[in-house]
Amino acid sequence: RSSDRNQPMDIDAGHVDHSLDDSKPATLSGGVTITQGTLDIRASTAVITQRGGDPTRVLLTGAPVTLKQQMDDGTPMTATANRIDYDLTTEIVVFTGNVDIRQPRGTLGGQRVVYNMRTNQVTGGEPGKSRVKMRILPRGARGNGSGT
Amino acid sequence: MSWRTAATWVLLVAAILSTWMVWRQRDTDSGPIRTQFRPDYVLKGLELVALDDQGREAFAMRAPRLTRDPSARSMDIQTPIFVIPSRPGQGGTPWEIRSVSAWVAPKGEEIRLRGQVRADTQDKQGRPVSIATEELNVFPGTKRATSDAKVAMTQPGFILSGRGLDAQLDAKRIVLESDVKARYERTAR
Repeated sequence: RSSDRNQPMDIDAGHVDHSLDDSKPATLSGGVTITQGTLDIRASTAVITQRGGDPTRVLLTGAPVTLKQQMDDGTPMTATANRIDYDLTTEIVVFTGNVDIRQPRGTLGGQRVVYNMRTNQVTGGEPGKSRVKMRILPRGARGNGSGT
Repeated sequence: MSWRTAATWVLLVAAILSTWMVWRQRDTDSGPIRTQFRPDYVLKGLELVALDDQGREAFAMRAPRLTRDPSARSMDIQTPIFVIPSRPGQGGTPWEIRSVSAWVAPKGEEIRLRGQVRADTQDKQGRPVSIATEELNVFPGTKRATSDAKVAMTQPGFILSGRGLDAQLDAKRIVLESDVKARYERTAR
């Protein structure tokens, strides 16, 4: 939800290496869970860059990383990828590596997908490098939110 | 079973029991407050500056009461306030660390702070940083601090807690080995 941004961001991990000033990013590992409102991310590691004490970017890796969020219309979105690069200042999320995004209205897969959380716009593929697979479900078939 | 076998079993069990009793009594923590020693001197209302091998300030300390253990040549201190400076030439704000009690090793190479330990400093941007725990072991020479107890670190808009602290006091960097929880009150705009 767009209101997620106004919520605190809570993080749970097994290990952290944190720099008290912003000189180095904080590295979390040992299984990382990040929640912020309806946003729920699960990853193996997370590297959080800060500015002025606020997180500005989160780089997540996992096998895979899972990102779940509820859209403003209440429908669920589930995305998995090997790597997720979440820029908190622009709210643009770049998924790379075995990307699979599922919503009730359909699915989108590929090697690189860019998702703008502010505009809900999704762009996929890299010209000449990787392609995307998209499946849009007929209105009648959109029900269980798994997009299959 | 003959009486000789029975007696052997009884003696064996007795031996195991006594060994276990002795093991349990071993001294597990030569922590700060050991009341069984007789101090050779007691200082009251003191300020102390400890110097390292190069004659530079390793730490400063003020406290209402200090007692010295002549056999261990260590010091036990009540409600101390320690000031741990950064390395010479590195700048950076010193750490001010206080607790209910502290034990200082003979050469001052280790300080064990126990009970409501609070370590305060500022980061490069001048924002306050605070670490709270029940146990903190400080090594002034290497500017390092460790703790096995739960630790909570707070900065404006950020809380980080966990166990297994290993902190580089001068580099202002902390590692937590387990049970890590963090909360950012807000994210960048």
